[in-house]
Parts: sequence; structure tokens; C-alpha cells
Amino acid sequence: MTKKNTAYTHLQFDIPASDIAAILHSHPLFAETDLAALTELLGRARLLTLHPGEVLLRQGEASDAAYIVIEGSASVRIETTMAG
Amino acid sequence: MGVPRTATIEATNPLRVLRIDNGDLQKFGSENPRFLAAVMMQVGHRFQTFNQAVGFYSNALRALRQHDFDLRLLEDLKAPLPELADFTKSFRQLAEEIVERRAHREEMASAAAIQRSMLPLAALRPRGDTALDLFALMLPAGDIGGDFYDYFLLEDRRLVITIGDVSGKGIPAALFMTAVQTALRLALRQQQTLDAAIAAANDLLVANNDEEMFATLFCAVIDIASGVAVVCNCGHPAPFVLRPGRGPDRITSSSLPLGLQLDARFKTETMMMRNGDMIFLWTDGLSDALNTAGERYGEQRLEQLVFALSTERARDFVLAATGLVTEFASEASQFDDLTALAFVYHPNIVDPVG
Repeated sequence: MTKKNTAYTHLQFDIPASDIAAILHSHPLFAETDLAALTELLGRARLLTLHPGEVLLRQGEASDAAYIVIEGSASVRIETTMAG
Repeated sequence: MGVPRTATIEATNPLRVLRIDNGDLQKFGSENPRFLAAVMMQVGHRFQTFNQAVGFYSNALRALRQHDFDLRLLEDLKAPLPELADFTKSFRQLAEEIVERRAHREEMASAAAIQRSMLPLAALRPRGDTALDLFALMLPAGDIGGDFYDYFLLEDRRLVITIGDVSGKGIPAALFMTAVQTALRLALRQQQTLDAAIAAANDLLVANNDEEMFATLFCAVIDIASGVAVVCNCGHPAPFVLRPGRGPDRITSSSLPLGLQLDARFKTETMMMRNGDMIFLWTDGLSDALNTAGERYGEQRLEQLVFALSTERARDFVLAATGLVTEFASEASQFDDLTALAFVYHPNIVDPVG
């Protein structure tokens, strides 16, 4: 179930897909996969932009997608129970 | 569907991310086995680094437990994984604290050893004759106690016995206790009378007393040939004098504790000790002993105990008395130092000169 979040800006590829494919290809996860396959994958992907303070995903939510950071930075916060 | 998110991710700068649906990613994986292999390798690599870190910390913990730990070891591992940065910092703080506390404990143990070395243990034998029937026992509550006792002979003829309790606990009390002990030993050897000696010791202690500590004290100087005893109680729990065939006595306090007032006057009493008479000195560790129910042993119960025990031998008496009190306390942790000293007077031990 994908949450509708108006903070997401759907800028479908203002960056050329081939550029993004090249970025992906530079990552160890994708380095062994050929560019053509990557570009095809990107056809089904969405590029999102978040403003500072906006939450990309929350602890505990069902995971329904993978996210790859193309540009920018984010904080990672983990809530744990305190030891008694 | 899938594993719940393990963290919350929030943009700190304008963030651009690529979002790939699970279904699309899985399809991609099945069509591109090299991708799956790469994922597995990444995961494997993560595990390896993580396991190394965990292994390191496990060893470090073991070393800490075995007093083997060198803080410099932590320099080698400066956040192997960004995820562990906070953990490394916390671990380091913890390790530093443990090492520091251990050093402090060792220091306390050394101080305790020094303090204990000030307490006499050996039997006294005037002129090498039969030992005096005297026994003392101190059971400290923590590493460092505030209780003290002393016994020694002056010119092989007069027995000095003292017992006392310093205010406070820990190292300050122990240091003051050694000062009290030393001042008394010196003054008793130098001064002509007991009250002068205690006054001299008191003035020394008041002069060097920034912490405003004080010590209760009971002191007796007993002529072992004649049985004449000069005593002085400075705020200390009243010792017992037990006389076979006659009623018992308590020597109540007549003077201020030491360390409180410059030029204080100390009041002494004189009494006679006869063959078989016992003087029993104790600290409030006995009367204040608590059992697991929080019940206090109390002075009344102590009195009953003391009157009921046989006074034939000092050692047996002290062990029996303290034994009964510690039995009462049983599992409860000891709140205060427990000190007891008994002396049984026998005039014919001393071989008269000539």
C-alpha cells in the first residue's frame, strides 16, 4: 500500500535515464549488470525529490520498494526499547 | 509485504531517490542473476565486517573482565562501520569508566591495607611472660572502615586499650582514623596522665581538621600489677565491666569526642580491676546491626547477650558475641564496621620484680 504523499515530486526523468543508469552502474550492487538491463529497469522506476525534514520511510512500515539515493543526504533513525 | 522497515529515513538536504517497486526489482533479479549475486556478496561483506566488529568487542569485554584491558586497543577500531559509530563511542566510554573504577577500587584496597596494618594483632607479653588475656576483632563494612582499636604496653607495666569510631566512611574517615590512632599513641607515651594525653591528641586533631571530622573514643590505662585502671569515655558507646560474682558496670561517656573543640577538657575515672574482671569494648556496629527484616539488634539485646556469656577468656567472649550479632544480621549486608575488644584481668600473670 503506497501512501499518497504530496511532498513527493514526480519528476519523471528530468535527468536522462542513461545518466541515472550510469550512476547505478557505478555502485557495487549494479556493477556486474549490463547497462541496457539497467536502463530497462529504470523505465519502471520513479525519481523522487524530498525536501529537508520530509520522511522517506518509517520504521515499522511494510517495505514495498527499494530506494537508491541519487543525490543529497538523509538521517537514519532507529528506535529501540530501553533495556530494563 | 516484506520485512518491516528497520529505520526511519528523513531528508536532511534536498534528497533525490530512485524508487523501485519490490515486484519490479524481483523481476529484474530473476532476469539478471549477476545482480542477485552482487546483492549476496554485499550482504556477505557486511556480515564479515560486522562480525569482525562484534568479535573485537566480545574480546574486549572479556579482557575488561579479566583486568587485561588496555584502552589503546580501542584506537585500532575507529568505527569500522558507520552504523557502529555511536556504539563504538558508548563502548569506549564504558570501557574508560570500568578501568577508572577498577583503579579506584585498587586504590581503596591499598588504603584499606594501610589502615588494617595500624591495628595490632599480636598478643602482648609483658617482659616475655604469659600473654595478657586480650582479644580484639574488627569486621569492616566496606573496604575502608572508620572503626579503630589499639592496645600496647607502656614501660611493660601499664596496658593501654582504646576503641573508637570516626565520623563518616571511606577514605576520608580512614585517613582521619590513622591520624587519631597516631596522635593517641604519641600522646599516651609522652604525657603524664590520661586526660593530658587525650587533650594533647585532641588539640592536634582539631588543628588539622579541615573536613571537620570527629572520633568517639574510649581509652583505659590499666596497671597490670595493681589492677588500678584509669578510664576516659569520649562520646563512645559505654563499655561493659563484667565482674564474676558481682554486678556488671557500664562506663558511660563523660567527655566530648575528639576533633571537635580546641582546648577541650577530658574527664577520667579511676576503678579497680580484680582477678577475672573483664572489660568489653565495642562499637555501634554491634548495636546497629540490622537483619533482613530491617530490625536493629539494639543495645538492650546486646546487654542481655553480654551478661549471659562466660567471661573466662577474652577470645572466646569476643568471637561468641560478634558471632551472635552477625548471625542475627545473617543475609543482610553489613551496614557499619563491627569492632569488639575484651580484656580479662589476671594480676598473678605479672611476676613482681624482686
